[in-house]
Order: sequence, then structure tokens, then C-alpha cells
Amino acid sequence: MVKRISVLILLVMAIFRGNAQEIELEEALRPILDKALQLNIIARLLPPDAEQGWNMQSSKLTIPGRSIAVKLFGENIRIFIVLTPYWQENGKLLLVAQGEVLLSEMAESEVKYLSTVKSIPISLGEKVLFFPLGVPERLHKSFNIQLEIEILSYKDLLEKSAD
Amino acid sequence: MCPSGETLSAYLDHEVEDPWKKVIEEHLTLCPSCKHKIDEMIFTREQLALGSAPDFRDSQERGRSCLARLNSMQQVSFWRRRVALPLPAAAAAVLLMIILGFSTLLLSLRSDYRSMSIRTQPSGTSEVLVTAPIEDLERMLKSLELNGSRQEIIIQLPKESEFFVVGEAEMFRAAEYKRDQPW
Repeated sequence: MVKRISVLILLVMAIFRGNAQEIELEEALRPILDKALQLNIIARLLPPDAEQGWNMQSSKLTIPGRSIAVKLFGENIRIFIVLTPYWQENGKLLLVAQGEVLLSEMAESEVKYLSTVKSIPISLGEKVLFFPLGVPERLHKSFNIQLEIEILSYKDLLEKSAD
Repeated sequence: MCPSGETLSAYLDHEVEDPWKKVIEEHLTLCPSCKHKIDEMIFTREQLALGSAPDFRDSQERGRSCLARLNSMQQVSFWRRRVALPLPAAAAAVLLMIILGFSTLLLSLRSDYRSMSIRTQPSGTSEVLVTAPIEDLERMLKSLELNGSRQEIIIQLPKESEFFVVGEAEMFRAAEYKRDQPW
């Protein structure tokens, strides 16, 4: 009987100890999770004179200051975009986009390299459009690439999904 | 000279051959002491021959009960089985349990050991403290270097799409952008 009780006590202690560690870790991670952001990115290929074309959507979780890289590979083009969200002191987000483009035009044998850094203050849920190849005009005859970026609070998303 | 008791017993068992048998017989007629001895032997033998067989039922019953007890001891469940430990071994085990208990208690009190804590400064910034052995931190940093500190999305654009740079890269709020509007 004593043995049975001892084993039971040890098991209960082990369970409580493990549970306590999980709670500690969860408590420690909570401030990070509260600040976590979800970046919804839609890459759109805009055909000439058309509103909709090919598009691809992706979502990534990050924390302010930690960047997400988007790489687009095409026939004659390589685009590297690094998106970094930052919290500003005024409570707004600052989205910084670094773009690098390597483009080989068919008629020419050389490769063009362009780089840019853009930033824009935005609010959570506000959509931003980034054009790494420049803004197309209505009558332009080539394809263009547009990135739609939306930043959401991961905590809000969790609360919404719980509801 | 009188024959020994063994010789008399052998005579009684018809194990003594002639001429010694006749000598003993003649002696017994003359020696009342030996005659008395041989008579006692004969009487004892007759008494033994007349006596009934001993009653072993009690001892058999005791033996059966002993065997039953042994069998029942062998079938004792794990929780009721007794374990015999030498006193020094038992003392060492108790000491070890006490030391382990204290160690566990100390480790649980030092909650920041090999763990992470986050302190929020008055300015609002958060300070993340990670307590871990140096080897673990080095391994973590190497792992971060190898894996890269940022996440990547790789998108393969459709084939047969030729791109041109139409201007400088731009970024706008979606609400402020209209395709028709030249920027």
C-alpha cells in the first residue's frame, strides 16, 4: 500500500513539475506572441491593360524588426524584396521594403541591376502596394509585378479565431 | 569368560555358526548373567514385534500446512511482497533520495536557470534575458547563422512573361492607388 501511494505521489509531482515548466515558458513567450505580426503577401502579375492576372498568396509570421524575404524568379528577372515591419513610438507600424532587381532584357546582352529602399508608415490591416519594377502606366505594353502587403496582429487573429 | 553383548545379539540373530554357537549355548546354561541378557533381548524383540506402526498423520498434516504456506507466500502480489534490504543499502538509498529532493527543490526555486525571462523597461522596450550554458548559446547562434535569421517566400513567376523596368520602384497605400492615375 505504501509503495502504491509513493508511486502515485511521484507521478503527481512529475506531472505538476512538467506543467509548471510549460506555464513558465508560455508566460515568457507571451510578450513576444503579443507583438507577433502576420504578413499577408500577394504577388500579382499584371498583364497590360488588365486589372487581374496571375497571382500568388503567402503568409508569414514575424516579430517587429525581423525581416521576411520575398524572392521572385522569372524567365529574365530575379527580384529580391526584404520586408521589415517596425513599431514606431507613435504606435504606428513602419514598413521598410528593400528591393533588388536583376533583369536581362532580351534585346541586350547585359544585365541591369536596380536597388531601392522604401518605407511607409501604416496601420494594422492597411494594405500596401509595392512595385519593384516601377508603376505601370495604363498603356504600357509589358507585364508588371505588384506586391500587396497586409500586416495583421497575430494576437488579434488568434482572438478572432477563438471567437 | 562371558561373550560380549554384540556376540549375544549375533547369536540371537542366528548369525553365529558352530562350534561357537554350541559354546555360547553351553555358556548360557551355566552363566545366569548372560542368560538374563539374552532373555532381555528376546523380550525387547517380542515387544517390538507386537507393537503397532507409529501414527504419522499429525506430522503429515503439519507438512501439508507448511507446503501450503510456502505456496501462498510465492503467490503474493507485487505490492504486498516484502523486499529485504541490508541496512547500509537502505540508509544509502534514503540519503540519495534526500539529496535528490533538495536538488530538485533548489532547481525549482531558481526558476531563471536555463530559462528565458522578459523584462519590460519603463520606456516600453522589452529586454529578453536567456540563461543557458555558453555551449548552448554558441550552438544557437551557429544555428541562426546557418538557417538565416529571416524567413523567405520564394515565388516562381509564370514562364513566357517578359518584364521591363518601367521606372523607379514605388510603394503606396492601396487605398491611395489607382491604376489609371500616373505617379
